[in-house]
Amino acid sequence: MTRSKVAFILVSFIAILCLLLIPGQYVRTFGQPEVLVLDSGWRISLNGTVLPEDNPQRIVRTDVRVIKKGDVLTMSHTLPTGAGYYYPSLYIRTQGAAIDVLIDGMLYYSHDKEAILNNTQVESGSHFIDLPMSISGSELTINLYSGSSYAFLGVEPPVLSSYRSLMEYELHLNFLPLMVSIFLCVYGVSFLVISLYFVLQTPNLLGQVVSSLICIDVGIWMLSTYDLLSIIMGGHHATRLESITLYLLIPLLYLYLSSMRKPFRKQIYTAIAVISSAVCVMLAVGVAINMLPIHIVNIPFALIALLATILVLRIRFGARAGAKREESESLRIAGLLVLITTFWLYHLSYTFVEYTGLTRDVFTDNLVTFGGMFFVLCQMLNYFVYIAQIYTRKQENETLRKIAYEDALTQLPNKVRIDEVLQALDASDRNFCIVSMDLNGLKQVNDQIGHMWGDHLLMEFAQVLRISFGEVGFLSRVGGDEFIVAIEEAGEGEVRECIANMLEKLELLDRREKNINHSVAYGYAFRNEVPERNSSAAMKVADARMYEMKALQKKQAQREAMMRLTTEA
Amino acid sequence: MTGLLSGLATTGSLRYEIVNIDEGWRVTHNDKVLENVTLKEAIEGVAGKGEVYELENHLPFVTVPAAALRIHTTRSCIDVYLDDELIYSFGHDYAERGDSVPNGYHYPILPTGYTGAALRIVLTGQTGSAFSGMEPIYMGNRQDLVQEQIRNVRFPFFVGIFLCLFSIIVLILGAYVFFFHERSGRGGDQFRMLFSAAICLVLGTYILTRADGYFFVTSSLAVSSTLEYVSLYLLGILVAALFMTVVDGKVRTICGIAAMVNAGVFSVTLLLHATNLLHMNKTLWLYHIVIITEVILMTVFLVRQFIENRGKGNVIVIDTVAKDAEKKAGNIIALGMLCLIFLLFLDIIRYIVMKYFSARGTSEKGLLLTTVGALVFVFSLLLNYFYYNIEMIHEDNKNRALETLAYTDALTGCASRTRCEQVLKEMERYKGNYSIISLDLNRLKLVNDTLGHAEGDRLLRGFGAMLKACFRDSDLTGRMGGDEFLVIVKDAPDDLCRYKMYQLQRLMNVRNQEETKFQYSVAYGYADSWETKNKKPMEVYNLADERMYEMKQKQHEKDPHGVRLKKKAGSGEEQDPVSAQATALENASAAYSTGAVPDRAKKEDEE
Repeated sequence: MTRSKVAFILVSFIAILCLLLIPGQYVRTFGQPEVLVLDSGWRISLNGTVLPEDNPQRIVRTDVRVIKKGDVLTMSHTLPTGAGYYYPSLYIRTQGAAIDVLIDGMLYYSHDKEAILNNTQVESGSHFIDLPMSISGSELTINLYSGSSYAFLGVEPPVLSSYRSLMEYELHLNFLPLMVSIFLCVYGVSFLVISLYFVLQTPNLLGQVVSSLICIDVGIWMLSTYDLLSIIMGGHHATRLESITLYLLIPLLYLYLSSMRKPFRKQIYTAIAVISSAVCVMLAVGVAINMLPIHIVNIPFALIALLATILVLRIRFGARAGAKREESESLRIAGLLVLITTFWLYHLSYTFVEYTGLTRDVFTDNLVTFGGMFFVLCQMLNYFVYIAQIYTRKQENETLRKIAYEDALTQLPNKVRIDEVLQALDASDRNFCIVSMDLNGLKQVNDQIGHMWGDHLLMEFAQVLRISFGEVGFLSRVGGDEFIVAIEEAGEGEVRECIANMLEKLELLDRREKNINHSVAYGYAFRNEVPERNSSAAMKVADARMYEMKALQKKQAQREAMMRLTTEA
Repeated sequence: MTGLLSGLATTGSLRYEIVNIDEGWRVTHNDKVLENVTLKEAIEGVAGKGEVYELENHLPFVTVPAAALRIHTTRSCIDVYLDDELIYSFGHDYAERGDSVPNGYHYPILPTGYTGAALRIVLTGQTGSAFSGMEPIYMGNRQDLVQEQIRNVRFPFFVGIFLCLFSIIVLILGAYVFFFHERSGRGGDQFRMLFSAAICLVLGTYILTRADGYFFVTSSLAVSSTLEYVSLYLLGILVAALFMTVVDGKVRTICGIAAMVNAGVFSVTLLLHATNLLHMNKTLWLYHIVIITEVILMTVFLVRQFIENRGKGNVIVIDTVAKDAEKKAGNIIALGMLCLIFLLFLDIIRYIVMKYFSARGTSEKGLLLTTVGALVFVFSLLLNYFYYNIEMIHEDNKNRALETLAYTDALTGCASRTRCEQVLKEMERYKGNYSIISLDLNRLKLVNDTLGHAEGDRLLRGFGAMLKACFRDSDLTGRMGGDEFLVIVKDAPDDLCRYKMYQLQRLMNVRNQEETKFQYSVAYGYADSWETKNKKPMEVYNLADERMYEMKQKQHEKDPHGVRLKKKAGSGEEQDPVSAQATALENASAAYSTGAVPDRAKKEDEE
């Protein structure tokens, strides 16, 4: 894959993303849900200490570096009077924190506080809280209880509106991840079904199966990370599912690599792959049955992921990268690499956000979206490249087939081909006859009047063979002047008839071209004749008979020559 | 797959109870009052413009936190009163502007103390034949109501989103292939790709909008309604056009005409809509008639064509130029298309039947068939790509096997003549220095004629093995034919050839000690590329060849007869018929062979 092609893909992909985003934005301007984003006017205190910020999003790590589990962040806001919301709902997103919502000091909503008490994993996610009718001028208080060290960092401002509008607001924000994650899931499932259907018929399909699994995995990861799962499926399992799918990505990645041709040269790489896959599966299981708290697992997992990334980079840019690699394989690696890179960037940007308090923007939010789409794009591109290449490849194979199986001069099948045919005949239980033939005059013609005439003789003889045996036998040229005909299910009479026919034709040629010796030595043998009942034994007998005849012919030729000499003398 | 997706569609838990308010309605329409009816019976026939239905009932005695109603309307304004207090209103602003009122779900929120309150819903039709039948009205928690509705359309929602993004991917890839791969000369494929991408996009949009699943892009019901109509019209044009590229004969013509007619209908409708003369939803019946006629016509001709072609092994007649793989792939797409058209057609028929002849009326969402059809279509596309993939894997395997066959000499395992010629040609562009060794195996003809071909083959095999053993794998050791061999060594250090030939000679000497029937002997010559003026490989080869002949000449002088097979002729092999024959023939034929005939004739002359 040349650089220009990569550039083309990138440019077109970005172009299409824009094409998708711009109409999306345009369409959205018609139907922006009416919401009130509460991004100022907050009074915020941490464990009773008042913080200077009036927007929870601005809380950065430096201020609260000492956040421990169980710390409490209290945010209060006086709701505007006269806001025309009729029974509004409140939308707030939490990250690893339990939440209480109070209106005028009355508790209206509480989530996951028992997780803090029980010291289990605190779920992150979206909360939609139904508020009472009269809220104008009320005091809204939100208490966040930290379940992790990043719980209070960059808290997105709460939003007030009707429930449906809030849900649409959230979906509009995550419009691309939603589309892409659903696409990945459906695409993965479809391809999995198709490849499993074909996997029995065709080898080398492991790559397809694994890549569809990767698609599903990334799709589910995205759904849980952007907290879209609760809207589509209901329930609050996002945090755990996010980690599980992330851990499972590593074994899938190694499986994917192993489906390529010789991905690892050294045993040690294979060992690394197996061990890290096993560890990741164990991590996933541990998190799934709620044995492992996620924040403990994060660092070892990051190391494993780093190792995997380095391996992929080695495969792409390592010593062997310069060697000829098939286009499809380099495409697949490129797709994988982009996917991994976006995953890293996403998590790095997350850490970055924690320290700076800047909100994630459209770009970082859609990074993995981009990676996932690129992965699928590379997969699909493979198929399209195949569609484009298959015709040329077929022609190439046709040429190769000719070179491999055909004698270039006479265009008769060659030794390789007749060997295959004889093998097939041996495997059957039918009788067959092998006729071995040797042109007596070829060497003489070649030496005396030139190779041109030798070639001419060969072509003529091939033509004669085609006429006299073509209907019943399989013809071949196995050496310079050697020919073999295999005749299936033939009686001796039939074979003799064919040979007589051939001799007759050669006689005619002899008379027409006096300077060329058209004589041929032949011998034939049947499968039934030989005790071994196979073609090589029959061939030996046929050859022996042919040599016998050749010897006789030579003697006769010598006698004739002598006769001629004596008569001339 | 479908089962899996529909399985997904039924899972998910709700927090509170959802009540279907179906019975006990009091309906007032044109001063006619129906008492205590179900919603199904509430609306008779098709409601037209300005027709007002008043539905009255009491809310059930069920308490749900943050309660709301869910009501679906079709092309009508809605006002909801609770104890005669207006709590929700929609559509009047559209009606005043003269725009058509969009379809969609409404979620009027119930104020506290709603249990048992008197509910009154006023529906005002806004188009010629606005609606018939009512979807059930539900009461429940507002979050539950919204989520349950989303879950109801999860299947079309998933499929719709998938189709939209899939189309974008196909579009990019189509462009990529178009620019970077020479295709086999048939332009039809590109159009096919373009059309399938466009169909996916339009179909996806149609399914999403029709399933009220477009909410994640826009909250505006008007935008979504317009998109629904536009995508339906476009779908007719595109499906006809794509089908045209996969079928042959009269059906093709019909598809072409259908595409043009659909395009005509669409542009006229769009013009009327844009100039506010006639809204799109008012001409829907015309479009339906056009589509139904086209599908019936197409089916008739397709069946006729199918019967005519049954003997030829084609399910559907594809481009007659297409070969095996392409034909099969085309067949897959054609089948997918047929399925899509059929299911779309059924959906339209169903819609018409429901609207005019059934009590449930337009409220019934018969989208499942179209969604399944779309899924089948995409599957056929994927299968088609996959088919190429598998075909390619087969061809690749074949290619590898054939390459071995074509480029290796079966007998000796050396490179074949074809390969040698290829490499010689490649060397033309090689910048470095290289050496060519030309070798000629002595006495092959003699062994062949006297000891038989089997022994000749053994001679060749043995020599080939020794030659290959002398050189590295990266050097080319090839058999040019008969008894001629060739070696090409890149960037050989000085004296390498001489050393290698010495090595070969030693190997042969060892072998010759053990050999009883014949002796290995070779003539060779080598040349370096710098020795020639132009560094042309053929020149180098010829130079090596000349040197080889010189050597042969010298060998001939030393051993003028050149006929000795073995210093001590083997004598214990009488049991082998061929070698017995060979020994018998040895004396007689020795002189006859190897180009000795003219000399022989001369000798006889002298005698």
